[in-house]
Amino acid sequence: MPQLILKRLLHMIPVLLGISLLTFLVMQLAPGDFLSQMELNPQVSPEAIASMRERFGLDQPWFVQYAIWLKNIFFHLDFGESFSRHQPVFSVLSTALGNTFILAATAATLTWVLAVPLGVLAAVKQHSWIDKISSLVAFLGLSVPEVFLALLLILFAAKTGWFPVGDMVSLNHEQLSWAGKVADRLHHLVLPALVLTTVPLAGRMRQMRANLLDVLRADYVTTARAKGLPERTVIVKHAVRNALNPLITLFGYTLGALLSGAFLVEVVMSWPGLGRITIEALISRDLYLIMGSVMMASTVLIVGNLVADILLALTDPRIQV
Amino acid sequence: MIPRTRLAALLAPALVLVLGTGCGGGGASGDDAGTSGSGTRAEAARPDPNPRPEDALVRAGVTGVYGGRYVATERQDPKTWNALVANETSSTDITSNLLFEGLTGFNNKTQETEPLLAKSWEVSDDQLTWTFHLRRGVQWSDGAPFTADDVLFSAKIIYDETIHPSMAELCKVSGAPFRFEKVDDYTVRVILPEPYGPFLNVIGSIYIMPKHKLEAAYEAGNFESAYGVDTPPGDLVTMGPWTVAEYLPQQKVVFRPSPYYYKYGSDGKRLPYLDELIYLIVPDQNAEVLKFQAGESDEVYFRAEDYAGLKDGEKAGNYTVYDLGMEMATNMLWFNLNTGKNPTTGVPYVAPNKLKIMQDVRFRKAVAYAVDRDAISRTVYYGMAEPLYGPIPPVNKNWYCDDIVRYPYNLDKARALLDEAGYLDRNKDGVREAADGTPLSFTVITNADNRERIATGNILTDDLAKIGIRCIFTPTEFNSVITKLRDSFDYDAILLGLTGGIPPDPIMSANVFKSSGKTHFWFPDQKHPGTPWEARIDSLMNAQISLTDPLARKKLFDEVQRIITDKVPMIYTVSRPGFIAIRNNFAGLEPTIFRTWVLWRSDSVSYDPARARRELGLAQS
Repeated sequence: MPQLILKRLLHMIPVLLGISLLTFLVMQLAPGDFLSQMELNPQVSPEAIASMRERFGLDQPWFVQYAIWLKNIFFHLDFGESFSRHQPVFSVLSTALGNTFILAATAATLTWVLAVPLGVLAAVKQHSWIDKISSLVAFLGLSVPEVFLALLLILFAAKTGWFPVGDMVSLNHEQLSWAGKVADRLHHLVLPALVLTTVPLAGRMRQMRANLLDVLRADYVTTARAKGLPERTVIVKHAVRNALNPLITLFGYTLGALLSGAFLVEVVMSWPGLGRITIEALISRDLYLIMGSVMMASTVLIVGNLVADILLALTDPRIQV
Repeated sequence: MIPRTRLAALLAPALVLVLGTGCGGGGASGDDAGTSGSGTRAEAARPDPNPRPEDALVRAGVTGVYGGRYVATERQDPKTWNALVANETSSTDITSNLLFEGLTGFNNKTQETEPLLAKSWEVSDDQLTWTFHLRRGVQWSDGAPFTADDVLFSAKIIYDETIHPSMAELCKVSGAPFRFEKVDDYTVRVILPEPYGPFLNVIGSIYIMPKHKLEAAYEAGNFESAYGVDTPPGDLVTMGPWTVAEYLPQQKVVFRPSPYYYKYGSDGKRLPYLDELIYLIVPDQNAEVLKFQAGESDEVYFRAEDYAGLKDGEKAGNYTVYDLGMEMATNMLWFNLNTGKNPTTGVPYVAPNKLKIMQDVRFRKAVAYAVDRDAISRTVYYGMAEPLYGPIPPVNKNWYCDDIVRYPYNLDKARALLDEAGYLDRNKDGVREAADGTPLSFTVITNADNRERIATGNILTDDLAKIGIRCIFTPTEFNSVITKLRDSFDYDAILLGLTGGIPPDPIMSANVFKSSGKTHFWFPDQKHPGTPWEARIDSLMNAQISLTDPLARKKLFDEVQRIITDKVPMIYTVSRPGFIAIRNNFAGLEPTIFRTWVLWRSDSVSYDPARARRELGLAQS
C-alpha cells in the first residue's frame, strides 16, 4: 500500500496544476483587477495606477503572470504576495487555515459521532417515534440553508445571551485560566459547529439508515440470526460494518462540503478562517491571495479523498487502494 | 435489538462535548470592570513617568477619568499600520485616527483646519512660502524625539509615486511638487511653485512617520511592507494617542495608550483617558448589530434599515442612538456623453443618434424632474434620506452652495420639456421618439452588489416610463461597471455613488469636474473641453486652486456647482442618513457623520457611566 499512497500523492501534482490554471484563467476572464476599485477614486492619477499595475505585474499577459507564479512556487516555495496587505500569501493564510480546520474537524467529528448511531437506531427501530423524529430533523436540516441557520443562531445567541455572538474567543480570553481558555473556545465553537454539522448530519443519518435497512434484509444477516447469534452481534459486527462502506467513501466529500459551508458560516459568525479571507480577496481581486487559498483548500480536499480511500481499504479487505 | 447501555455508550462522547461547552460559558461575556454609582467613577491611578512636552496640546474643555475599555467594530481587517500606504477605510480608520498624525488636522466637528504637530505657521505675502513651527518636546511612542527630519522623511515618501499615489497627486501644483526644507529641528519651510488654495487641508493629510524606524526599510526598497500588520507590536512606533498592543487577524486589534502622547485634557491629564481601545473585526453587518445588542461592543454605526430595531432597544440595552444627519456620499445618474470612437474598431462609443438625444440638455433636465426623491427616500431609506440636487451635499458646511438649480419631482414639467424638444411618441407605443425615429430607450447599469442603488434604479425606471422614456435597468458586476466607465465606454447611463474625501475640499473632486479628468464620468479624458460650459468649469476649477482666500475660492466653486446643476451632466438623487449607537457608559463624545464617527476623538472619550448618564439626562442606574 505505501507505493500506492505515493502514487496517489504524485497524482496530486497534475490535478493541482490543472486547478491552478483554471482558477487563474477564470480570474483573468472576469473584468477588472485589484486596481479597478482605485480607478474610481478621483484623487488617484492614471499614471500612478499604471505604475502600480506594472509593479504588481498586472500589465503582463496572463500566461506570463501564471508562469512567474508557478516558477516562484517551484524554485522558491514562494506563493506570491497579497496586493492589499503587502505580506506573503502563505503567512496570511496559514493561521486562517488552522482555524477553519478546527471548525471543519469539529463539525466532521460531530457529524459522524451523531450520524452513525442515530442512523443505526432509526433503521433498527424503523417506524418508531425515534425514526420519525430523526427523519423530521433530517428534512429540516437538509432544507434550511446554512447562512440562514447561522443568522438564526446568532440572533438566538444575542437574544438569550447563552452563547457569544460570533468570534472564536472572548475579549478577556488572555486573562482566563488554562481550563477557562478551553471552555471559552468550546463555548464559541458550539454554534458555528452546530450550523456546519446540521446539513451533513441529516444526509449521513439518512444514508446510514437506508444502508442498514438494505443490509438487514441480506441473506447473511438471516443466516446469522438463524445460527442463533445474539441480535447485538448480528447488527454491530455484521450488519453495521457492511452498511458503513458507502459512508466512508463519502467522507472525502463531506470534508469538501464542510469547507465550502465554512466559507459562509465564517463570514456570518465572525470566525477567523480561510473563507472570510478568500471572500474578501475575491471582492478586492487580490489575485495571489485567492490562488493561495484555492490551492490550500484543494490540497485539503484531495488529501481528504485519499484518507477516505485508505480508510475504506482498512475496513473492507476486498478493496484495494 | 441494541441494548440501551450500548447505545448510550455510542452517544456519550457527543453529549459530553455539548454539555461541557454549555457550562463553560457563564463567565465569558466581557463585563467591564468599572463600577457605576452616582457621582463620578472612582479613578484608577495611571503612573505617568514621562515629562510633559514643552509644547503640549491642551484640549479645551476636555476632562475625564482614567480607565475603562471601549470596544468598536470594523468590517474588515486592517491591511497595514503604515499611514502612508493605507488606502482603504479598514486601515485608515486606524492609521490616520489612532496611530499617526499630521502637522495640521481636519476637525470633523467644526470642519476647520486645526494645528496638530505644528503649533503654528505663517505664510509669506506671495503665498508661496509656508513656515511651520513644530511642537517642542513631542516624542514618539518609544521616546525618540519628533523633529523636522521626520517631516522631511514623510514628505519624501509621499512623492514616491509607487508608494502612495493619491497623496502625490494632491501635493502638487500644476504637476510640480512642494519643496520641503528644514530650517532647524523645529522649523520646516514648505515652498510652493505657485499659490495653492487647498494647501493647509492637504498638508494635514501627510501623516508623519518615524524616520528613525522606517528609513532603513525605505532605503532597502521595502517601505510598503514595513509596518505591515505582521510587525511585532513592540516594534511599532506611533505618534497618535494609541499603540498597538495586540493584533489577531480576523479577530481583533487591541490598542493601549501611548506613554508619550502630546495631548492633554484641560484637567492636566495626559490623554487618552481610556485604558484600552479594541476594534473587533466583524465581517457581517447583521452580526455587527447583534454583537452590539448583546453587549459585546460599545458602538455600532448603522443605516436607516436598522434604525427601528436599534432605537427600540435603547433603554433595555443601555445605549443612545445619535442621529448623525446625512452622509457626505453622493448618488447620481449620468448619461454617456462621450463623442469618441473605439480606436481599434473605429465604431463610436455611443450611437450618434442616441448621443444626440443625451447631449440635449432639455432631455437631461426632463430626466432630472422625473427623479422622485421622496419615493426613493420612503422606499429605500425608510423615509429618512434627504433629496440631493447638487454635487456638494449640505453637510459639507464650507463648500455647500444653496443657490443651485433644483429639479423637484414634476412629471408635467418633464413631459413639457420633452414635447418642447420634439421628442414625441410618434408610433403610439408608449415610448417617445426623436425626429429621426430614434426611440428614447436607454440601458442604465449599476453595481449589482448595492441593494439601495438597485431599488433606486427600479423607482427611476417606473417614473421614466411615465414620461415616455424606456429605461432598461441592468444591475451589473462592479468591476464590469468600472471597465465600462473607464475603458470601453460602451454604455448609455450609469447609476453610481461617490464617497466624499476628507477634508472635503473641492480639490478632492477636481478630476470629476475637470474635462481632462479620468473621473469626469460623463466624458472623461478630453483633450479640449467639448462644450463651452465644460470649458468654463475647467477654468473656474483651475482658478480656484490658486486662490488662497477661502471665500474667493468658494465664490468660484459656487459657480461650478451652479453650472453642473444647470447643465445636469449628473443627476443627483438622495443623501442617505447615518446613525451611531453608543453604550451609555462613555462621556466626552463628539459624534459626527464623518468617519470614524466617535473615535476621531478617541483620546477625549472617558469611561464614566455616571457622568455619561448625567450628560444624556438619563436617570442614574
